[in-house]
Amino acid sequence: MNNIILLGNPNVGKTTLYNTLTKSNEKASNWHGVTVDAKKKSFKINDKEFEVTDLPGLYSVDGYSNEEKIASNFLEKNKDDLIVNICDANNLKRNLELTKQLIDDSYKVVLAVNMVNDFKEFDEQKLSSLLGIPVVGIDARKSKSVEKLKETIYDIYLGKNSKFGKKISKINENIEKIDKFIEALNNSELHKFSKTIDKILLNKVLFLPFFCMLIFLVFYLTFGGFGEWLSGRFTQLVSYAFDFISNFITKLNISEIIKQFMISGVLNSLLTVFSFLPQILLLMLLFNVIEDSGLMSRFAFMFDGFMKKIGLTGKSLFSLMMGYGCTTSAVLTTRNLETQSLRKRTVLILPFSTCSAKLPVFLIISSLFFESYKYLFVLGLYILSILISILCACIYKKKIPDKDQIFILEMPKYRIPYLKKVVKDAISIALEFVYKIGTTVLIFGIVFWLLQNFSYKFEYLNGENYQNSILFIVSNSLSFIFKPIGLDSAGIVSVLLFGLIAKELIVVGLTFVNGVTGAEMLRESLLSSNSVCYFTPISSVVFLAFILLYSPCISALSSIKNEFGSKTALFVFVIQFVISYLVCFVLYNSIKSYNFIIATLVFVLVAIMCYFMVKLLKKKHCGGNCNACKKF
Amino acid sequence: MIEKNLINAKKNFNYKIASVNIEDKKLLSQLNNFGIKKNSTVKVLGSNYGKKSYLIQIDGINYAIDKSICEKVVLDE
Repeated sequence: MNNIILLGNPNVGKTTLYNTLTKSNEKASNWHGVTVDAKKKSFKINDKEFEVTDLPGLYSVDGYSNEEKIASNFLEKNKDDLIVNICDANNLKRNLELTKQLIDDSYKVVLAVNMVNDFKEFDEQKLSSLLGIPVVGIDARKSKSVEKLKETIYDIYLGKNSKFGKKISKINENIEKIDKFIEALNNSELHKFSKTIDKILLNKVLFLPFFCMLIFLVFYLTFGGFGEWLSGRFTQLVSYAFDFISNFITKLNISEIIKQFMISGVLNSLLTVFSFLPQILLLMLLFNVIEDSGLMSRFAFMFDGFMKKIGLTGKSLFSLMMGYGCTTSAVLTTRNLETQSLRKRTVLILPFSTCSAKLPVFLIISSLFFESYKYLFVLGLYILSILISILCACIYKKKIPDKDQIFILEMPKYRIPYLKKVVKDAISIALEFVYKIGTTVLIFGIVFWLLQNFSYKFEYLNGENYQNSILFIVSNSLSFIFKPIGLDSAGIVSVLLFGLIAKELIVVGLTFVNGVTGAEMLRESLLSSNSVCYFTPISSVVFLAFILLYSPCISALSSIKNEFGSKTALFVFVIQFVISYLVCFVLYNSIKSYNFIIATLVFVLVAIMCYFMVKLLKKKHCGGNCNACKKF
Repeated sequence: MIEKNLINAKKNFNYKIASVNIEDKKLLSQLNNFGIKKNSTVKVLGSNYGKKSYLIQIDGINYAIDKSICEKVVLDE
């Protein structure tokens, strides 16, 4: 017996305990269904290796939703493993229902009662004798008594602790005593605190102003005020680092092409995107505070009515919020949605949740013409993406029909966010960002640089005759596509193409095209009409709207392909491109000619044409129930 | 006489569940796990925008529950 399964109801702290045991940093938060797949890792107790599996939360061993079924199937296949059943001390009565089922099904169970710190006293011996299994009171967030839990596991491994095998009928005889034990725990101040806050916050009059204020505050702190100050200091540091390293490279006795490659290609790719790290870190930190406080479930509940009108449920909101960090991981969280149709509808609008990789380009371009109210401008972009996603969700609701969704969600207790965990989670996202810079961005940044600096005859262009470069020729031949939306410069087309690989590459591409280094020089060059790539107020708005809405990156598409198949991934790619194109067409033409009516008429005409083209291509079938529809 | 259910129940009043009229056995079992079963003590705390879901307290724990389920939870008068 070296295998351990962490099992329990959703949102009781399984992943937090998993992270503590294995020193991992898997996503854990104060809302239902964060874990959607089984995760395995080994850890040691007294030099003996144990493999621990963290499973999605479940309420009963049968499983009901998709992620519950993953857990119950795993359990079925691994009957002999030791189960560490984690319960929330604040909700012990409901949590013990699963424990009783596990005992009844003859599983070997250790009960880890989490969050015992919320109570003055927790008599684990008493509960252990009532249930007939080992019980350890822990606080997984603060790693309290986790060592004791490890000792218990080790004792069971050595065969020293054999406190198992109490019959369920025997436990049922103790039911009154168990209820009394739980009742004694229920008089917690935490319950009262949560109830009082819910009374105020879930009031229909007060909720919306609170929600709007909170979102405004997040954006103001990230993109205005503090975020801007922080970014300024960090950019200075990065530019010092850039100067220092590039001076060092210049002094090296190597060929000029290699020097240029290392400075403009490698170093520039890395440091330009890196300078946006503080604002990404800050945004993720604030989102983590909201998640950890228990507010997310309240948002899901309050918006459930509205979400149903557009064919989603309150639970879809979790995936959509995760999409603001990274679309790729958000796609996986749709597993906690009840039906395949609902999952598909959620995934189809997920790319509208603006991922953090788009932030650098928003910050650079918005600061060109809208510096003094940058945070309002970026907020406006987010609102635009939300409005378009609502519109699309309404269309998908009709096109991918489904029976009415049933919404049941446990409201977690409000918690003061645990600073260490919130910071750790934000740092983990920041490290992922840095890792992506060091891998995808660096590799494709180099490819971009090579294509831009070499001609078809593989001659080095040395920053001159940009028109002869491979990149320019390819981009120029495609620029006619972007002419109707005013983005027909070959430089802009090339960065949009590379943005399909990873959104971080857009800023890197802009620096390459203009032959500059660092964020500050890039800003100046983008304003100068002498640069290869420059922006006017109109083109900057259209460019940002295009970036906001166009096709997601390769890793997000591959995640969609894995979950829903290549047809859905291809559909997401094409539809996002078409939508962004149409929106930018209206935007560009209405701003340019001040003629919103003509632009909208053209938009409607193109949209109708697209609709009929799709209809012609598709066979007439049932519209939801036949095999062709299901495959879509 | 109209049966008292979670939709027409008085807010912030403790009720005992008389029956849960749901035929889907899996859903019923899931609801039982939440404590929505005969004799459980429930309290309606409020609803969301559009009254599509209700905030229900069961055995001291708050849940957001769909209107379609709330309609089928019959309460003791």
